[in-house]
Amino acid sequence: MNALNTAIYSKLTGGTALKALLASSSSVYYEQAPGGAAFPYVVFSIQGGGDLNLCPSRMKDMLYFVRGYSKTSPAAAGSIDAQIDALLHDKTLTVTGWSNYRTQRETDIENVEVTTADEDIYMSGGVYRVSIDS
Amino acid sequence: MTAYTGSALDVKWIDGSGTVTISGDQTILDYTPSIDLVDQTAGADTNKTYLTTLKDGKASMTALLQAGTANGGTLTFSRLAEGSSGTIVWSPEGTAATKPKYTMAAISMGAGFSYPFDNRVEVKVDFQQNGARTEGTN
Repeated sequence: MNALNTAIYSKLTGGTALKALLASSSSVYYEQAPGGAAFPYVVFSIQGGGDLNLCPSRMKDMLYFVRGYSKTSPAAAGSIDAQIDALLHDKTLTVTGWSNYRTQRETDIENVEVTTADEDIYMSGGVYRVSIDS
Repeated sequence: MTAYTGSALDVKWIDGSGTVTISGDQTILDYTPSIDLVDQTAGADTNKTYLTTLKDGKASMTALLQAGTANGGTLTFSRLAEGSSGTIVWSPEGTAATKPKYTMAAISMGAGFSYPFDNRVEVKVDFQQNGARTEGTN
């Protein structure tokens, strides 16, 4: 959903403390980071959700997985996650054409991936429920 | 026959101040008719039997409360304070010609609220039937 993706991107790239932990001020990507992107960075993507069909007003309840990646350590990825949390949990997003009445973190996720070059990539993030009303 | 959902529901409240549409933010409208019964079981009866007497009914409407408005949205609190009398008219399939319409004199029992920490805030108004319910068309 473009309007919501744009709102989340703007919120994340507007966070000074978060940007200070990333490779660059624009190291925030939707769905996946481009090949060769410098670490650390943030990726956000839709996990699920959709229309509520609850009342005549159109409402959507979306789940976004927002996470940070670092090659340094789990703690470094966790620090990025903490800044993401500070920007999103119980905060209001500005979504064109919609009003955001709930943004709350629901699930914590951490893991490590090993590349073919035997490098560890640490991930830390969470799933956020984002509810909007037209 | 075709089943249908409540998405086209139109509900109006008519009182001394005029007619106001109270649907728009609703999630459900319930109506439950009832009738008083007199027990006529006697003698060697082995099962209870009843006489029917007076008809009655209750309606209840739940809506999502709208932020930043004094009246909370289309379910207008100022017109539905407890004790307010009027007529509730609901059209389950909308107000196009020939669609069914139900009309019932009613007393509003007032707006009740629910404020969950992590979910949508709702308002619910109960209506006590206050006379006959009529069934017709738009």
